[in-house]
Amino acid sequence: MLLELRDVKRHFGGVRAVDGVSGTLEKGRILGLIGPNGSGKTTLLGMIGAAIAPSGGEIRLDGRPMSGWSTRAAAQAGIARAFQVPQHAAGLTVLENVMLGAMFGSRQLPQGEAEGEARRALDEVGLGWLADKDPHEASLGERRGVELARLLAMRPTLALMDEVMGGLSAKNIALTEQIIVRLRDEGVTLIVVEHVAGVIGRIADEICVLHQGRVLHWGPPAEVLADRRVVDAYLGRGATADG
Amino acid sequence: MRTDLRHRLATLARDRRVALVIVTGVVLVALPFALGNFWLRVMTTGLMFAGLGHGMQIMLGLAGWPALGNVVFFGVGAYAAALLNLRLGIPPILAVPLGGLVAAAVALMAARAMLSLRGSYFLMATVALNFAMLELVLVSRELTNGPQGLTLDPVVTGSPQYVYSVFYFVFLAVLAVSSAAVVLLRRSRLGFGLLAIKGNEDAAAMLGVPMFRYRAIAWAASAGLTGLIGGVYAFWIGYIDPESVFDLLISLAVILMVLLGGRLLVAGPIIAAFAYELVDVVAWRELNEARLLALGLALVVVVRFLPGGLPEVGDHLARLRGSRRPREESADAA
Amino acid sequence: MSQAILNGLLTGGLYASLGIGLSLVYGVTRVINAAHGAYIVLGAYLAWAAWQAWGIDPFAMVPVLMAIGFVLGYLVQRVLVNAVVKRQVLMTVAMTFGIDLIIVTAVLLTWGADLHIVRVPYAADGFDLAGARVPFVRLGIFGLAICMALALDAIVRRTTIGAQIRAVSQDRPAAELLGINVGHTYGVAHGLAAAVACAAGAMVAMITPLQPFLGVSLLLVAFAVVVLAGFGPIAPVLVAGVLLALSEQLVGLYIGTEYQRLAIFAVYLAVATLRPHGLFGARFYAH
Repeated sequence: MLLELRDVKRHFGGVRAVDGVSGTLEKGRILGLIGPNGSGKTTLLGMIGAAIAPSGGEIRLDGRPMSGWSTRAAAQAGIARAFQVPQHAAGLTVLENVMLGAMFGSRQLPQGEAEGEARRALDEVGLGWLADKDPHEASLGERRGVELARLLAMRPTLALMDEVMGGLSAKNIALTEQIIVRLRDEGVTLIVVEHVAGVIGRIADEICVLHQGRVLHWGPPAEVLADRRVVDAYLGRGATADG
Repeated sequence: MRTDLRHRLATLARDRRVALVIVTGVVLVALPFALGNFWLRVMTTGLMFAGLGHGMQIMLGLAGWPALGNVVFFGVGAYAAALLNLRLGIPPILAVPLGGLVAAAVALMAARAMLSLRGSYFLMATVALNFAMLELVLVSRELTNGPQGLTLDPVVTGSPQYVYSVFYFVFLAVLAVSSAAVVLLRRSRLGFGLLAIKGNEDAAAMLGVPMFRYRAIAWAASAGLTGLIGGVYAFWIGYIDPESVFDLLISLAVILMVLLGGRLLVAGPIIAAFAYELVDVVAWRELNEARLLALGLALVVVVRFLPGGLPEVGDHLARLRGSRRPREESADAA
Repeated sequence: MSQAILNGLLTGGLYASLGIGLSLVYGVTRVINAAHGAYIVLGAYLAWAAWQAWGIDPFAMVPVLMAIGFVLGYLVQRVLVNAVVKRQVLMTVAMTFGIDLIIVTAVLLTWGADLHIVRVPYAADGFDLAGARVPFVRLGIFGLAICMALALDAIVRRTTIGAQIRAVSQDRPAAELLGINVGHTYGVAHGLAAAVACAAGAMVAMITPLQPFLGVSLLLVAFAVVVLAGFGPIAPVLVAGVLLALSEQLVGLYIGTEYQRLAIFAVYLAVATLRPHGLFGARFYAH
């Protein structure tokens, strides 16, 4: 069991963004995390990535509690994140940005090797030609690709992907799906948050549905998608979550 | 193996930049023999500011961290070196590097508390640190002689020309060290990490760059270099007082030089320092007010209109020259 | 002792008014305005010059100074600072220091470097309270500081422009989407800050010998107040100003006057590093 969530909570003042989420995730699985807007997906992902500290409950990675972890500790433990809005370092080329993943994450490669790894990762996402450019001059799709390459260069154990396919072309969506599935086949565990229709249905090994900060259903795709409460939650008929 | 080395040296020799560095080096070394006392002093001041510029460049250009009060390390280095010499009898040749180390130590101690502060807060904290040190020196009269300052015994004796030349070469040596330091830092893993932090702090943290450690090392390096120069300054002038060595205007002038230097990490501050010093000496020799006004105007103009510094001016000029020969250019390009 | 406390209270009002403007500008534009000290110095010298030439009481000059300050601050923001808000912090602050130098040298060239002070006819008058002397001048300063703080607070909370200021400081992109002219709002905030600073300068002119380079240490006091109070509501700024002035007085009384400035910086550094959001934790928004 790679990831264990024990009654994880997160409050922001009076708002209960995440209100008692529990569950486990085995290694080498793709977990699709879905739910209506405001259901707590991004907050939960933030806690798993150690960017936000839980207000209550516990998250364990490989049996180790993640309490008090910095994002750096998470990176060194092999957790990588990709965002909807790509986060790149200004002043560095695309290649250098990708190298960061290989140099400072859990791999800690020296500069020379990191460069080779970065080029390989960029080639895999089809962006080898972009290597010496300024990331801020690239299109959104290209910048997402660079983020993905950086994630690949990190060789993570757990990859958290927060709505990385919104606004991409069909070709790029297919490419991203391919990469996610390939990572899973190589033993990487992934949590994918995605609104783009069909993606979760196609690639997820299991699905967790969040509603108002709580788990509505966490299980195999067929079960989850057939659950009437899930349908109601998405269509807003005010289903209450019993966890 | 040998042919590979020879090949590399050959490419290096053909590299225009290396040639430029060598020529500049030769010129700088030969200058003292050609100049009179006055201009020798001017050039020495230029060398000093260039070194300070490199110290600030580590914070500004590499780490991207606004250490406006960095002059505090100049003062700390100067006073530490002076006190080690006067109170403990340590010879200048040792006191100066030790002064630099003291400055670096101060930075490391302050780092714990200050590096977690966000941009503007850190900036004002460094300014406050500078003034706090100034006040500390002022009130510790028995040790530092307070506002009256400290007078140091001459390190070198001989004709003024000789003395000036010695310090010229000392500052030149320090500049060589600072230049090497900036280049090495930039190319190192540390430099990579610093640029990542500067480029996008949150992303860098998320990727596992050791934020605090790298910033602290950068600050200590910057402080040590600045302190070292402060120490040399103390023995060069032979007299230091709190208001002069903890003067925020020094920091502002150095920042102006780094900004003027633009994207040229090493050469920028050197060129800008000499430009600044030459203008300063030629234009405002007696008029202290005019000098301040010019500094103020320069800061406003450069930040507002020329953020890329002199290299940006150079780019504009190159483009102007390029646009005057459109037909030839396009023929070549095609 | 009671004299020290009283001095602390009264001077605290002055410190608070130094800090209010800075807090407003930073809270809204997220840029530290190093020229803030220069506005104070300018106001001080203008007040002194008016008194010197026409015998005008500095208190009477306050409205004029506020007008001058507002225009100056607005122009500085719109013409110079607005273009560089998005740059590196050090660059923008260096530029505002440049503006500070320009204003200070202008003052220096106009009025010279000699010390000046305004001695109004009633400078020595006052009344006694609980064994301490309350000079009218200081009481007036304190009163003026409170008035300005309340006025500024009212502007920010009850006027349209105040609402715009609050919107921009909380969520700039959202404010822009709502159609608020951010550049203009920045200008107004800066103008208000400069107005208060110039008025504060008139007050400073009455109690401290003026010299053109007073600006930077006043800037630091202002920033110390702001850091203590946190950026945001006006009330903590008043309290912070008083606290700072009180500590200064008590240090002067019990340890020695030469340690006063050091004490201010020590308090500042301690709070800045331990509780950067101020003793009261108030902020315009989470940075």
